[in-house]
Amino acid sequence: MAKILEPNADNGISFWSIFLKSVRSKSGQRAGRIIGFHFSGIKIVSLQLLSNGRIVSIDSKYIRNWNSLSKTSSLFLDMDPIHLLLNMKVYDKDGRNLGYISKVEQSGYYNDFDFLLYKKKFYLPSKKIYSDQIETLNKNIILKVNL
Amino acid sequence: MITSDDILGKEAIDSEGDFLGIVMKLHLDPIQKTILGISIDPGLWRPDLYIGIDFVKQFGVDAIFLSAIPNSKYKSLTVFTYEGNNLGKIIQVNESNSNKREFVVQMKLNWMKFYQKRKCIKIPESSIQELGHSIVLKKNASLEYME
Repeated sequence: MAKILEPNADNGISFWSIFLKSVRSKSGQRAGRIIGFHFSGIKIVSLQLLSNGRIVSIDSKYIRNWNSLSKTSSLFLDMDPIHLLLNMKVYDKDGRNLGYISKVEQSGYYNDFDFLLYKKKFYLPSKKIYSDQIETLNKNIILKVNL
Repeated sequence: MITSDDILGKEAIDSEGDFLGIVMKLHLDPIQKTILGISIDPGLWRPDLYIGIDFVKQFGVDAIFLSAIPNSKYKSLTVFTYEGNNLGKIIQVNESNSNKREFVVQMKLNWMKFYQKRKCIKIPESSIQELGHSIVLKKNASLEYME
């Protein structure tokens, strides 16, 4: 009976060998660590990641190397999740530091946003940025307008 | 018109929006009386970075925007295969006359063979799928072992 409960190392990976495993986005940025799964029957529907103190759910269809996953390899996603935009610095067209991204307003359940909210200090009110105002969105955000 | 005070001490931001360091020096041509470039301090343990004036896009209010990404930024980036295996870290970037870059990667330390010299591999830029927060290679990328 005990043998049935043991993980079979030849046919798959046990939960504990991928628990807290680092997950990276498409561009190689750390997107978080695995802390749980959502199942529908025996199929994994989504992953739960711990990222900067937040719990984020990622649909399992975005996992790129699930079939070739080994104990030593990292898990890669097929996209850059929008929660990674949080805390990015925002610069306007004139190079003025406007603050940091405090909230991402997700559009539906897609990996896209309606607008971003930024603030200069945590006690100051937030302001909106729309996607058509953004020139560079990679490691920080540079706008093509002055706000 | 701006003065040297408006340039020195400002953040240098590359074309991806990444913070490179603080501008420490202005380089002047004593005969032509023009600015040749700027020196950036990337932080502790890293050598100063010289940026020619041709690569400066804009002198902003709080930041200086560059129009290119210096090759030294890629040093010590982690390299992953398409399957998610960690290969090692970039130790050198070679650039040919035709602007084709080649990355030299030092393989990850194998603790079981710590007494052996760590191998290096060359990766042409054409084998790279993602070049950002870390380097992700294409599927079945060609790797050339160095002697």
